[in-house]
Amino acid sequence: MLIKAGLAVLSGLICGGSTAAWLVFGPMEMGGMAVGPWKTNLLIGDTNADPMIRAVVARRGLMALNRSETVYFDATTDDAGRRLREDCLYRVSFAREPDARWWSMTLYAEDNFLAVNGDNTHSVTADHAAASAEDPMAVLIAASRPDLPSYWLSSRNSGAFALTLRLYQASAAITADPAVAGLPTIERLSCEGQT
Amino acid sequence: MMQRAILIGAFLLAGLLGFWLTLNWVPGFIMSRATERVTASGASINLATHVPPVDETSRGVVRPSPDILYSICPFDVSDVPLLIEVPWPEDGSYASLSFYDANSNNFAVISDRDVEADFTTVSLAHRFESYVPGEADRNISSPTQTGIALFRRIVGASGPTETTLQERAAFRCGPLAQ
Repeated sequence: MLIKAGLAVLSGLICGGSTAAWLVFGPMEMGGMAVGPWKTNLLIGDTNADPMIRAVVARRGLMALNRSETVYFDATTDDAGRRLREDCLYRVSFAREPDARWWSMTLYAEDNFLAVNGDNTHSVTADHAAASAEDPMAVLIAASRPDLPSYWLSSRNSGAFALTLRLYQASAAITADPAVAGLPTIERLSCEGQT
Repeated sequence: MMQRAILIGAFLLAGLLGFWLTLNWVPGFIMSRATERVTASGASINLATHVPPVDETSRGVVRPSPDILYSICPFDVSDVPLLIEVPWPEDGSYASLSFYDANSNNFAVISDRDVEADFTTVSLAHRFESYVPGEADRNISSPTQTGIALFRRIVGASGPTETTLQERAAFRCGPLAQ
């Protein structure tokens, strides 16, 4: 009986540990709430976050700031819920600028780092929006520079990429309820081999 | 029947324990790996390292922001507290100093919004009862003996200027003389 009990405990520990590791290093996202395709969790960087959130944040956003400094939104799909892919052309439209002291939107490759493509266009910021002639501002995401006037983010060599929108010192309304942030839409315009 | 129920119960309880232990172990593991990567790339414990502007070759920490200049100070305050000197941007850009313990918890943050001066000194210790602070504008207690202090400073759309880099170079950390 003792040997059986020991084996049951051992296999339980292994199964529980493996499940946790699989979730954290696999499919688990940081998202706590969704605003369109954007997901955020206000417990990012919060010492009161539960162990699952802390583990996933350590994996996907190590050294993130708490919400009093930065509210993070991640998108891995377009508005229709389709996975973001480097072989598609997207338009990200800001109906209005996020109500924050400063903001940036960065494209990350599948490995959670900047895509290695030599294009040097990984992000768009409040500074670009201020300098943009477009109102409202739109950003095009594609693997090669589109023949359109909007600001371009390169998705070349990014695979199934993700977008991270950082709002630095966002308004009190947003930190209380991210749903009021007025986030940009992500529209898929076309994909390679399709129109 | 009873024996089988006990075995299933032991399996389930152990499963929950394994799940919980792993979740609590992961942040510390990832943090220690990150610290190893940072020190392997040239950073020293209890000294500030000014990270080159982020580009696509940056692989130190996941999801780095290409619009931020980072300076990093991996700390070990088991023997002596640290004194950290923080220059705030003269052009009014956002900047912050954030502290992460050995389990990756962001236990403190100071931003330029929180201060009035253009320069702030911070002392960091594991337990403040071990010495009398007084050398710094702010005193922060770390929940763990080791961790990372990270200085962030926004750069403009055209990238960091020489002035920005010089200003950032005034970020320092080192053992606090007692």
